[in-house]
Amino acid sequence: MRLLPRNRLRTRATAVLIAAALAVLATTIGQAAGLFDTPPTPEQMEHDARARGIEGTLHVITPVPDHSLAPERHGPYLFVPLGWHGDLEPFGPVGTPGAGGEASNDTGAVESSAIWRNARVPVGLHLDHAWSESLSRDARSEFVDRDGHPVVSTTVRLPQIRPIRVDVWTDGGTRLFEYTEIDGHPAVTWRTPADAKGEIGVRLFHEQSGIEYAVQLSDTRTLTLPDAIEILRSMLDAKN
Amino acid sequence: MRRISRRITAVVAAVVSLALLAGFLPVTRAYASTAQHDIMIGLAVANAYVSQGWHSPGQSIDLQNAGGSTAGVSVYSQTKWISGDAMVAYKASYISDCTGIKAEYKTGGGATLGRTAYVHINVSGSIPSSWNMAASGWTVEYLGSVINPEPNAPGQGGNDNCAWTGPHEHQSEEVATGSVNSGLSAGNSYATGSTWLVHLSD
Repeated sequence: MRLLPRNRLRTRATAVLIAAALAVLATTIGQAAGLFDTPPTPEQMEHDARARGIEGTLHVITPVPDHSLAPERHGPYLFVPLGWHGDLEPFGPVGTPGAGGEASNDTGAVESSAIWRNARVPVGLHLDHAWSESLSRDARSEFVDRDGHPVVSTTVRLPQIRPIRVDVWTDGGTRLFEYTEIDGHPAVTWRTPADAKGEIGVRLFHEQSGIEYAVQLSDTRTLTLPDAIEILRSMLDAKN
Repeated sequence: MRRISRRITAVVAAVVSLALLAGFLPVTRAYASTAQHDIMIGLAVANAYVSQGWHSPGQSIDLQNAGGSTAGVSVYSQTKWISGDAMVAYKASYISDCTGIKAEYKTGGGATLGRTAYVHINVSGSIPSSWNMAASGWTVEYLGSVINPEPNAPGQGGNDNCAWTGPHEHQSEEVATGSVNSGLSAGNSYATGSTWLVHLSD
């Protein structure tokens, strides 16, 4: 082990102490200013559950606060930390076409809508169902594997307000959401932590048409982010 | 002596058979060895009023406090162990036009059994990325509180894709393997300490 001079050791120790103090201060200020919500204590949760008639063994999860994030604007997207109660820049409506339209669970009707985009998905997957909250504004679909398990879901929609809000969080300080550009268009990629075997997704805003495309993978054992981007590109190429 | 013993055995067997047929004796329920958990109502009130039954998109239900105001009421991921192994719940990514969070429920081996979206809630910033659904009793994880007003609703300058006319918890279910409780209907109240919405089974 290489020995450092005493003054350099002292400088490093001071830097570490200052960083730790700043982190504690930021968390304290965040809580004190009410920028984040205050979750109930485990005791409160248990009392609450018993009062509601829940009997027997009760496992109460203790939340782990992470107040290290602040809102960030990236192109049309506004990253908002989950639980953020502080100020945000104003959201405003945009004059996007496609007002009205009925909700539908009819896959055929959704596929026939003007906003539907065909997605090319990997071999072995097939369209299970499509639905829409408003046939003129959004089309959503889910693709499943041979066993019927959901693997890919897609969304095409006309966002009605700007900026486009993206709720973000970290995994112990590791960023899970990233702003990027795909083929010159603003986009956001996200993932859940590796140990969670969770989801991967990408969303892209096509500024010329005002349409946002999104692809989400719920089975990440065989598909990865590049697969999600390829599926999203196939939707972009389908009609635009 | 041997004949008496045989008679006693025959009588005991007959009594036991009759008791079983009549349901007097407990019969061990034949659960599969696989994991089974129920997803319960998330709204933290004693009784939840179903203001809209299962509706589109997917399988969704709207819940309010049957005994008072709904705004600000806590919302939990509440799951109840039925049999078998523990499961794992994950804070999942969520694409939505409204305010809310989605939880994903998996086996210990990583197979997805279902997802639940908890919508129109002020999402807590302190939800862990995953938590264990214990192989006994209830597991309760705080997700947030019912928001009022919903900032993404059309009347609040939001978008038409976020239907909202007052404080409620919209809970929607995607089930890969399991079943949805179809016995719930709009206009009725249900005890949250015993009413399940989804039965997960691997």
